[in-house]
Amino acid sequence: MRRTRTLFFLMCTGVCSSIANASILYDITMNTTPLIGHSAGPFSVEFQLNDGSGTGDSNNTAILNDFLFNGGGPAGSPTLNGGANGNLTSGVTLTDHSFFNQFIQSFTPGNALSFRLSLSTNIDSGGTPDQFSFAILDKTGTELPTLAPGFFDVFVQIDIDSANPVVRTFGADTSRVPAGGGSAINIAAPVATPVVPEPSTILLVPASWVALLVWKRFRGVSREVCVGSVNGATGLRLRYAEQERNRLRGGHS
Amino acid sequence: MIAVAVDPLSPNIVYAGTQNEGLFKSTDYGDTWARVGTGLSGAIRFLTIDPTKSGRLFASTGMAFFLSEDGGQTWTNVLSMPAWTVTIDPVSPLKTYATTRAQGVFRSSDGGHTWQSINSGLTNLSMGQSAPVIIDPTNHQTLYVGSNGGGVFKSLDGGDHWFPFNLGLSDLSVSGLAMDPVNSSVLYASGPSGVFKTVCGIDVTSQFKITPGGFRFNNGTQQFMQTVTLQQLTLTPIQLPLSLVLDNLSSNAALANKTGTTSCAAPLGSPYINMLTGTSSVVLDFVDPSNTGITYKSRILMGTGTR
Repeated sequence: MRRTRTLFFLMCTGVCSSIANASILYDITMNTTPLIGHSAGPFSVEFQLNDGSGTGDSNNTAILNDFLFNGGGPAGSPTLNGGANGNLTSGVTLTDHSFFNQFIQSFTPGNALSFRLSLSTNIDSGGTPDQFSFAILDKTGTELPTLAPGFFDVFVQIDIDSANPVVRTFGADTSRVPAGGGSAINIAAPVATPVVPEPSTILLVPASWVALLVWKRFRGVSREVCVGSVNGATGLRLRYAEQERNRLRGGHS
Repeated sequence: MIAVAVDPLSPNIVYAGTQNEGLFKSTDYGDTWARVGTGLSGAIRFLTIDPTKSGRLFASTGMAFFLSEDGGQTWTNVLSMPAWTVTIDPVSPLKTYATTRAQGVFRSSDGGHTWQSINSGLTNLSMGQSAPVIIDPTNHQTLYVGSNGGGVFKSLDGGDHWFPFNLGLSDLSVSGLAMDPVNSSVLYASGPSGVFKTVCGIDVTSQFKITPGGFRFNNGTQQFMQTVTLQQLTLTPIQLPLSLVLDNLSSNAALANKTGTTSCAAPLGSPYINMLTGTSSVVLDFVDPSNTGITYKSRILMGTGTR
């Protein structure tokens, strides 16, 4: 029995650690004041999560929510391609169950646009990573020019090539004018703030201990408790993240 | 007699340069000869006839390059230095290249009247006696030249810049250089150690770390884009340019900004894109009308010979 208990503990620890290392959580904020009244508008938010394996392996998901427009707001209905769902009001989910997965929805710019990104970080086989990216499209459906290398024209780009991939942010390219007309737009690179410090396996060990204690109390339903404990660990992370976020915002959510 | 040349437009006209007796000309396929060459002095090492204009030719001597535009009757010294060869671009005959014994390569843009030194990248200015500037007939900006000590050099910009092109060339004393007239990717270099031949597209994939970025659909161009970064892992000299070859590219996709397709390295027809440095990134643009998966395998080929 002791051996089973130990085995269960190790399994929970391993699962929890695996989950912790396979996702990142960021708050992303950018100044959108230069877009207010600009003739290249109306503008659209655009997200892509494309599959590096080319097969649509559904091994990564991007969850985007808590959209704030600071005086602006979402507009119209979204355009969804591949594994895209949701809208800017209720939240957006992108899964790479197709090669090409894209979300587009118009918005009325306010002084700033912010949202929370939760991105799983499972590495594709074959060498080409899944890629998450965020761009703003003008009225022609063309990306606003940015300083991203190779004219990718994105404000945020994440190649999921490790459990903790680099979040690259780029400002607008003021040397190029939007395809939709008007003057060049000057927007600084978005600020991407990790909501949770890099997860540590050690920090999650207590969660596994909690799971073990729960299991001891409710023997006989160990399978359900295990699943619950895993979700509980994630929930703990999210609650901690929310507390951190509230603290950073001075207590206002 | 050390130099003979036949006028390609009038093959009955033959010129013969000698060591000490000047220049002779025949207008009856060599049956009879007459001495010509007012103004020409020194031992005549090479004669180069303009393939587009009969009666216009260069003579290279131990002292200078001479130009005649009246069928060898009169000559003008156009470049005073010990001369080896002259190459006239058959497509743009005003563009002319000259190799010298010890001062590298010169280029003229006015038919040989004035000359400019074009030695950027040449690490040895002692040029091979019979290693003229060779113009790739498929791209007249691509040039080759041989040197006596630095091996073969290649230029991709009409001679503005040169880079060594010596993979496999164990002896850098190149006295002769020639191109296969039906396959411009094959060169022959001769020297004290014998004759060397270029080979087709050497695979150097193992010497690089290839890091592909993810795919993104560009809404403006309606094409998928991907950044690929190469990082050289070894110190082995790499001949430029490098070609990133996309083998087995999925059937729904095509490389929109390819440099060319392989023609002599299997599999035939794989698109490639040139990368100019040993460690660099390149953006691939894919046409994929179906928005389905884009897959391929990467190879890196070195130098020329893949086209």
